[in-house]
Amino acid sequence: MPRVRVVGISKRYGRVTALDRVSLELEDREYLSILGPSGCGKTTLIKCIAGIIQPDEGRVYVDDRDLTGVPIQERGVGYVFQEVALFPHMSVADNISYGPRVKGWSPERAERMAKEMLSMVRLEDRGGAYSRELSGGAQQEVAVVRAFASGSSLLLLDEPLGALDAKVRAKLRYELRQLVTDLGLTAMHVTHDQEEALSISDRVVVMKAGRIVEVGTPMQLYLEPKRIFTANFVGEANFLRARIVRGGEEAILDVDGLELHCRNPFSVETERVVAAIRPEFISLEERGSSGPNVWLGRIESQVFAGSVVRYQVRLTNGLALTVKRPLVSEEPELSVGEKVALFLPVEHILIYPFPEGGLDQEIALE
Amino acid sequence: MKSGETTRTSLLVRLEGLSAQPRVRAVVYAASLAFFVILVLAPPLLGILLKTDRLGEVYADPRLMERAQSAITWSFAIALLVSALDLLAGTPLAWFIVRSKTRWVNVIDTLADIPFIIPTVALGFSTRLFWSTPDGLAALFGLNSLISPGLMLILLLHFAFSFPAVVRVMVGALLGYEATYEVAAKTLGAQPFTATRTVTFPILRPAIVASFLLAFARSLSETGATVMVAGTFENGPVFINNAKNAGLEGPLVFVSFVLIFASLLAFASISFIGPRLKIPVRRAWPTGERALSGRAGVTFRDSVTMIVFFAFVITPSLFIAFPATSALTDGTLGKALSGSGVWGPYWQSVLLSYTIGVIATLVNIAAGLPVAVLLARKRASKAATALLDALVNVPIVVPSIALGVSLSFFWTAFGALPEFWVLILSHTTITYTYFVRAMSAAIEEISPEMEDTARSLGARPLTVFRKITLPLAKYAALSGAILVFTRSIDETGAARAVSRELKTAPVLLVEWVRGTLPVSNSERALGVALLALTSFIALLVLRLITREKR
Amino acid sequence: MTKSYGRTPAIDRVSFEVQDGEYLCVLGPTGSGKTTLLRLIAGLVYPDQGEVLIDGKPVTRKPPEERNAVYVPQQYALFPHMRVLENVSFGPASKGLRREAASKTALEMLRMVRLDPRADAFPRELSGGMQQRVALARGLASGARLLLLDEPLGALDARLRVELRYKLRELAKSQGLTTLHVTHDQEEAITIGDRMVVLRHGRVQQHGTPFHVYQRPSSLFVADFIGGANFLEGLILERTREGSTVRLRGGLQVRVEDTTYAVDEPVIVVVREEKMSLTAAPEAVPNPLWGEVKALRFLGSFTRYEVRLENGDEVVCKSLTTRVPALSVGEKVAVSFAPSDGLVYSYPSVGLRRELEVV
Repeated sequence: MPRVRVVGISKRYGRVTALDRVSLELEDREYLSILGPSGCGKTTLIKCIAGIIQPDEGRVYVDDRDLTGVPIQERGVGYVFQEVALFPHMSVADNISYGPRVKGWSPERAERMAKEMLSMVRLEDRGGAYSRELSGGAQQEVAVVRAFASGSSLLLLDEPLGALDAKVRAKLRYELRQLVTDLGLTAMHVTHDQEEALSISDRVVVMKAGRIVEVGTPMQLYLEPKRIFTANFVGEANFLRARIVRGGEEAILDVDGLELHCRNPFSVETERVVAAIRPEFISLEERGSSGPNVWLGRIESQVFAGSVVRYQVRLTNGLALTVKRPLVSEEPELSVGEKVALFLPVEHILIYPFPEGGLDQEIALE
Repeated sequence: MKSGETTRTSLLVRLEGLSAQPRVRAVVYAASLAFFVILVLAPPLLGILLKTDRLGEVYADPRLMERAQSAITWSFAIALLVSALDLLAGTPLAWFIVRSKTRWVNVIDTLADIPFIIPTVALGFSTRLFWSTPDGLAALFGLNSLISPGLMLILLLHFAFSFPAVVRVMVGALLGYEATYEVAAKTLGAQPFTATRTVTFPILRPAIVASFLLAFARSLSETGATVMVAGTFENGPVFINNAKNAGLEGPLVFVSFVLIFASLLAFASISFIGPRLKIPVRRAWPTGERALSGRAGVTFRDSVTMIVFFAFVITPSLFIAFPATSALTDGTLGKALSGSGVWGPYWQSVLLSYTIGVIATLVNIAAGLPVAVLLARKRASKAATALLDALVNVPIVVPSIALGVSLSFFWTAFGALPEFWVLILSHTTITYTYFVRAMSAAIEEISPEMEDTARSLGARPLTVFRKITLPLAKYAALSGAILVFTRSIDETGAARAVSRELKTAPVLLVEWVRGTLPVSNSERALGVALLALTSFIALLVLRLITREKR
Repeated sequence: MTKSYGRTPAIDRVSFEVQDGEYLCVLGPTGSGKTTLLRLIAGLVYPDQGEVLIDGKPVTRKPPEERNAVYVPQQYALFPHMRVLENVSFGPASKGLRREAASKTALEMLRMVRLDPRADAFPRELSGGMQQRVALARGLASGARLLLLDEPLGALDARLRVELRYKLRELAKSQGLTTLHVTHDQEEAITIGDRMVVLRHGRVQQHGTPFHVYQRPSSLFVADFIGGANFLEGLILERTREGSTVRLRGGLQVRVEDTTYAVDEPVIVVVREEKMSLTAAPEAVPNPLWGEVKALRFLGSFTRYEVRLENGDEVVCKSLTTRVPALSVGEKVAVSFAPSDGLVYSYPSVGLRRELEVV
């Protein structure tokens, strides 16, 4: 039985559609990320579930209970805000015991609960501190246990790591995930950072312009994205405009004069297509190589990016491809201007029907 | 970087060049600070000290002493009581204005400003008319008067005119309040009432203290209307007024002296204690507070708030409309416009009030702007800025009549400054705080990054001020100016203290109501209403401007 | 330069140079003083000690409008009461150009960032990415030769940040500008900087090309802050001319090429996450270490394995997803690294955790 069911939620603000008939389900103990660019409606969605915003259409069910018309305080759904929202006039311990206290618990019982929660996040001796004295990461963890202490086993997180430095964010996301698992919570985590979503979620929902684009496990979305937007938003991809020369399961495409063999997992039939391949799946070969899916080109630029090197390769037909290679590899050393051969493995090429609104519109990030 | 023709006059270029020199800027700031200290701050505080030799007169006469002490104590008692009541009644109204979604919100919002808009003499006259005359509420009960002039009437009057102070400050605070905290409390299971009590109000404590202090200051300071409704009762300002009428300088000095320093002390104490008061937030009563949050509870609360608002604030304040409108038709208007009889001096007084108002406004803008910048940008040390901040409040903390007394002593002692100029100075002093506060709040809102970026792009300080700071703060500048102007028109206490021959309009009107001149009720009503008219127009313009911005 | 607010210095004896036309990234955690540094160079604050020289001339006490350096703050500070065109022409107009000439320059810049169709809009009508481009165009239009960018991509979505960072560098280079780009994102700094400066607690930790700083971090902090690294505590067991043997916890031994430390000195061996590889043939590699897979994190193009070694130490192996063997949690694995990839540092007196902490 899914813990949360969202059925056909829509929300409009004047002429802007924030949510357009969105439906999804969340299973017990699942960690689901809602991923998308700013303005895609992801925050509006969880606010509808929490009751902070009322949808124009559709229903929200939590544990099979229809929450239409139920005020925020009666929904039993915990919420962690992007700006943390720890009460500035209360100590950290009082923040945590707030939920129990407003439910009528005796102060002693509430304080005991607060102590337990503080030790879960290793802040036992900081109970008397105020939120401004803690680091951003610690504040967020307190916000999580505060929600849990109030009795919710369902947690909604609104860009919880958004305000933190890149390095802290990368470290804290694993701790956050661990905390949620340890507490046995079911969670929905909103973010615009695809690496964050992929690294800690059981499933990911990709949204754009108020609609769900695709849902899948991190691996599915990365290795076999069903939509062009997903291919571009989750990780990076090279997109090539092509024509199908021979259709079927083992297709042959014409990419501006170059031939490309690929599989056709989504059974695309249209003549005009878009072929996509991720930069790290392309390998650079010796100049003399040849064969199907071996394309010749010249290295236009080379950028050191830490653990990988990014190459821009200009092909013989004028198109450019981005290739990513680990810094240390068995493959030969290369330099700008050098002629290379690129190999595009059949199993990593995805094809999609050419989008109606044009390719640039489809992959646009804003 | 010079290329092509410049678009600006050479004068402007020269000024901009000057503004880039730190020394020039320092001189401008120093001059405005000097103006503040020497012309605004010193006279009211020092003047009274010149007359400490007269204090003995009061000690000699025990009955006079008793009367003086009683007047002083009552001033503070009334101010405290009224401020607490205003806080209690005004906060739910502010809540309603900010949170309610009904169509009436804008109407209520504008109405709540009425006691601010109307000159206090009009308020006093209207209140007295409403509660104490056979033409007022008493008519419903077939009585001559419901509440006669005295302590009770003063309380009702002060409650009404300090009310908008609380509502304005609380509305501003609620609008600026981060609603996320309350929502967070609700996600944790708190009922709306509990969330408000345990989260919102503690966080808004600074605003609560600020609105209390503002109401307190207004009650302590008000003279004109209080004199109209005091009857034989005396609080501080009334006592001083009576002493001036009787020509008793000693008691005048004594009470002024005590009022000045006691009010500063009271202010400092409340400002210190207020933020440290602990509001009980530990316990919650879920079932009870749930009921209070429910629809019935909210409706009950709103109804009571509205009843109090209309019965005790709006109606007594607007009651003057009745006799005023009848005065339009019964021939009084014609007499007024012809300038005959008492109306000759009336129009002279009105002209005087307006002239003073305009001059005071212009002076305050010129002298106050640099000080506002100093406060907003905190360029000086933390301690210096805090001190300046406190000192800027002095003109509104000290009761204006006592301020006027002290001021007139100061200037008579330092050579014969014509009465007109002493009037200008006293009006400028009293209204100084309004402009500086409004401007500094607005400038604080402008992110310093805006100005930094503008300078980094190549603009000199004057250009930054002209093209960035002023346009973004223009609403505040305008509001501040209008506030100064209307407050100046409204001022009774200091004007009364300073005036010998010249009478400003409010002073004249107080005489009309209290004095022995042959003025009919109809004429009184019209005189007061005409003065109120301009203030009304000015503040309506103000509302339109600020509404446009919002 | 040194600059203090209160008792702790925000910038503490910082010195460095930027060459003409260079794109320099200043990298550091929040609170490391990066913004103060930029503001000192821009002339928005003056240092307590030290000097700023631009084009060889001291400008330390010169006001910002005379420095030929333009500061672009993180929140852009677009003037809300002016339209885009007026915003962008503000610089040239302030420096004395007539309105037509200033607008012409402004439009040119807007064309370069592809926002000329929105010249009439107000800033609030534009998206975050567009506002950022307007802020850039405004900086460029001012004619300044030195661009000071304070976290220019900080307010943008993660994916947008990645896409725009190259365009940002291209734009600066195409105009022949010298750029100082401040950021807390080490991936950003490494990718687009010609050189970088790492700042911590107001002091320079290291400066050099991204490649150099990445391969040869000068301190444990830099090693941890740039990319991810593994830290293995140990003691020097043996030292020869070719390298040293380090004895890790639990008796495990590894060989490194470093010869700086004497026998019995407590050290920390640092191995980058992507230099630590999972191996199927532990006999054939140097430094094989046995352990158990503790966790698996799929990051997209990379996958991260957390392995608990026999001796209790935990290491992270990060490789491209395509080159990683399929393993599951609990499985026994061997990890290894090349001796040249093992960087050795002295064991910090304040303890490892404090040494690395970012706050």
